[in-house]
Amino acid sequence: MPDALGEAFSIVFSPSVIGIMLLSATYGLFVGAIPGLTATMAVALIIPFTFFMSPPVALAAISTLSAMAIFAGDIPSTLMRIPGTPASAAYVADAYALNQRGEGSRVLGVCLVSSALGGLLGGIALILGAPTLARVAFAFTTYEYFWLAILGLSSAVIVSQGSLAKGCFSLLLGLLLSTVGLDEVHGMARMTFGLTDLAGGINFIPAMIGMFGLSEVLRNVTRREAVADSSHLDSGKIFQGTLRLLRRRPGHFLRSSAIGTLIGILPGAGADIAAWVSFATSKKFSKTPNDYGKGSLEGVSDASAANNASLGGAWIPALVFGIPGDAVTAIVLGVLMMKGIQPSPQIFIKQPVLLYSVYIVFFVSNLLLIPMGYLAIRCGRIIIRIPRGILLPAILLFCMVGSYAINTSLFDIGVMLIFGVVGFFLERHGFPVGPVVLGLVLGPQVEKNFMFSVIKSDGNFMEFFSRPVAGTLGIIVSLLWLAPALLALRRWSRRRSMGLPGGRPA
Amino acid sequence: MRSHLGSWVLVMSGLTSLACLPGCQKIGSYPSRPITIICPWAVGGGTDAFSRVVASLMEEEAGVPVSVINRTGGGGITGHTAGAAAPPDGYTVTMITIELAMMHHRGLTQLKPEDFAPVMRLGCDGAAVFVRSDAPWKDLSELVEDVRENPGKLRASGTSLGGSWHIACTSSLLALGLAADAIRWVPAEGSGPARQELLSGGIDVVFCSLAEGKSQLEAGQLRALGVMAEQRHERFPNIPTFKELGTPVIFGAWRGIALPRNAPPEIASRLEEIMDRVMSSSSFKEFFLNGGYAGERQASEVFAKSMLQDDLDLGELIRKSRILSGGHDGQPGSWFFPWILFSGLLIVVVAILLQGFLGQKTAGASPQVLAIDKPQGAIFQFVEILAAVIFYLALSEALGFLITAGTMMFYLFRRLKVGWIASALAVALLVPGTYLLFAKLMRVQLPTGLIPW
Repeated sequence: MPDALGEAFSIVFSPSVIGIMLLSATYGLFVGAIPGLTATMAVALIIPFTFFMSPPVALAAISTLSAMAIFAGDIPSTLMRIPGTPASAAYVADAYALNQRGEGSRVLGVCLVSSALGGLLGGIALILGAPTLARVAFAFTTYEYFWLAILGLSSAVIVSQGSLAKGCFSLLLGLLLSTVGLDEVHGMARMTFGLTDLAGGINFIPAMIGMFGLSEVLRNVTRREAVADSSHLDSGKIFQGTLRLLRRRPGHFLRSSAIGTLIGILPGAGADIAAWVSFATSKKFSKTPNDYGKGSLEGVSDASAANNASLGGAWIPALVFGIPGDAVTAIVLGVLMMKGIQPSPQIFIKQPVLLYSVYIVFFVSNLLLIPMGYLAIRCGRIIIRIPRGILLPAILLFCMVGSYAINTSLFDIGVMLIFGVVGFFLERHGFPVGPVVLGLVLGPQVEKNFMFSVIKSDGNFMEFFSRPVAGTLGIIVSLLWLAPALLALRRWSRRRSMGLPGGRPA
Repeated sequence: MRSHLGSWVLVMSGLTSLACLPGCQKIGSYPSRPITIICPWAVGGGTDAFSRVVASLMEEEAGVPVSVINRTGGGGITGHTAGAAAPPDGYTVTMITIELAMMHHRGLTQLKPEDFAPVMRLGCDGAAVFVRSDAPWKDLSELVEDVRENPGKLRASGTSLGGSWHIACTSSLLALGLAADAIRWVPAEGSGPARQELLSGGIDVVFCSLAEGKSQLEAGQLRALGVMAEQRHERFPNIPTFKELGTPVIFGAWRGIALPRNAPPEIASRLEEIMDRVMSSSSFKEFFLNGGYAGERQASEVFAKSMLQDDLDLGELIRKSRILSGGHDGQPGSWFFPWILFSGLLIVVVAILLQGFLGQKTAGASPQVLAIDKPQGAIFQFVEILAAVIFYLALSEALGFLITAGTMMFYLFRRLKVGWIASALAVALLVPGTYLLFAKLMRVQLPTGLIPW
């Protein structure tokens, strides 16, 4: 074990890896600071590069990049009242209001330090939590994995914003698309329409790049130009009073990071939901709840700690069960599978170097966040003013070449195009895109575990509940699905008795 | 305005003249640029490891960079198809595997061994029968006896249904005069997960190569009862062959280097020379023996013949045993899972429509609507972006990356109201920059077309 730790240190601290981390940090800060471009898009566009790196280096690049992008999202929130990534949306009003009062530098300083510390705590949760869970998961068979995957997918649908039916639609669409190609169980071709390119299934990477990259470009050209000229920032000291604020309320800070981590672990819920929940909790327990929404530094600090803490949390189920906690780790999972690594409790024994590298990277990248973030705040106004007309075609070019690079196949550019358009329209009509991607990534695993279980049990469905853990998980999943229906029924019957028209389930 | 356009043209033509033309290269100078090996199997697997060792040794022998790309999926179909369709110039070679002689018999693809010009077979790993070290059978005959008395009782695994090790299992059963389903085949993703399942007691037997089972064999967790090879393996002299035990079954999964069918013979023979030197090198021999790999190398003509013979044999075997051609009684088929999803999707669509009909606005209604002040412009730009991608798809093969991407980007920049100079500058920086990044740094073969830079 110490050998592996030493090896991991020597991998992470080699000049080329530090160089890659600095590059991806710069890229992450840049993309995060540009309103309308999300951290997920930044990660989707970097995959083609990670494809040519060794697994620990690829994961280092991705985790550094996402930590940076989530923080950088706070810059345009403060300067322009436009969240740089959805994760900053919860406290955009507060950050902007404080900037209007001439406290912009201070707000960003608080955001930066909270983000870095939140990220570190998330990383610690990952280091402590993942191996513990892995020990439990060692006794799992295909039944348990089937239920876990279903549980993950269900909670992704339930927490995704918008209607439950639409979330289900997205998820089932993703799962159905994952069955295209030769199935792993029988080796028969399905829905390939005679196209050899489809025999291997829909390539996950171009699909991701389309859904998160191209659709973002399309959304940007169809949206009204952002009003960029109102941005200004005072020249005050960035870190003035930051530590005092944090030292005054360490309990709040721990609470927000814990909330962030837990929400990160929940499949389908990522940094954006973590920020909303933490902000609401912070408001509830605050002595000055009336300030929230009008310029509460406490609220900003709590929410921005939570959104960075969620990043570490999201890696826990991704590494232990192969069930991603958010969209970024869904991409990470895809990258690992392309490299022949199937995340499972096994990797805690077989790939200690990879795991230790991930742990170390979480520390290094969050420490790196402080100086890099400082520079980004100082350059914030310049980044925001980069003309959209240059940026969008450049992103398009990277979407195309990136999709092509994985398999050197023009067909994959076509896949990217179709998924981009589909993603754009789904989102415009209120269908969440996240579950489509989760379905696409997890589909083959779900199908395999399901089919192997069915074959092993000779078609007796009760076998799925035969083992203690499998049974418990199965019952939790059933309750999860019955609960909204029961609640809706109760509400409906109550309204009925009160003589009101039936309401829609929330 | 005109002069700006002129400067752009100047930049592009400058790039054109910078590029050299490899079209004038003679066959005699082969190989003079990087060679790509297509590996149809995933990173981390046996064939991948094999391809990478071969690539690094080829690099020394051929004096040009040799890289491996993994075109995985479809049980090997994707990579083999890509390899057969590659330009027959000797710069794209394929690591073909036995699946090439199996897939088309199962109606999965049109691709046949004849679509390749085989260069050299690099080995052939005999199928071995693995059991747990505490298994009740002392040797192969006891296992066979058990199967004969209780057909259908034992469960084996190693690959998916119809994969090479399943065929190994079936062919040994048939050779022993048993039914093809006397051992129940449980599909697995590969031999690794199958051996894991064997150790945890989920199945009784695993069929896979000695190279694959090597570590568990040496750790004493598994025993190998026999191997379907001509002779015992040098590294595992204690494992008897099926032939010695009275059942002359030979089944091995071979792999080899091949070019597309219509490759020029000069190039093929030059490549064969290189491969010959690779295989004679001491580092290859060391890798081969230590890895537990087996089988003789075969020169192109022998390889071609043995491949065709395999094709005939495997075809007959697949026709004889109905299991391998897909029909499997009493088990849910390939469409079971998609069908469940499809029904679910239908129900959800009905639910969404019902919600709409009941006149209740959905909570998730889109917050982003097409720009209100200039909707037509927005839709037009939307269409233009899509058209740009389609333009690239249609022309990049013919015109090459630089011209197609440059034109596309310049048009989009201009349409998004970027000035002439800025557009030209952005194109001049971005397009060659992207090319350098991908084609030079990451060695991705971007379409070259007219400017083969």
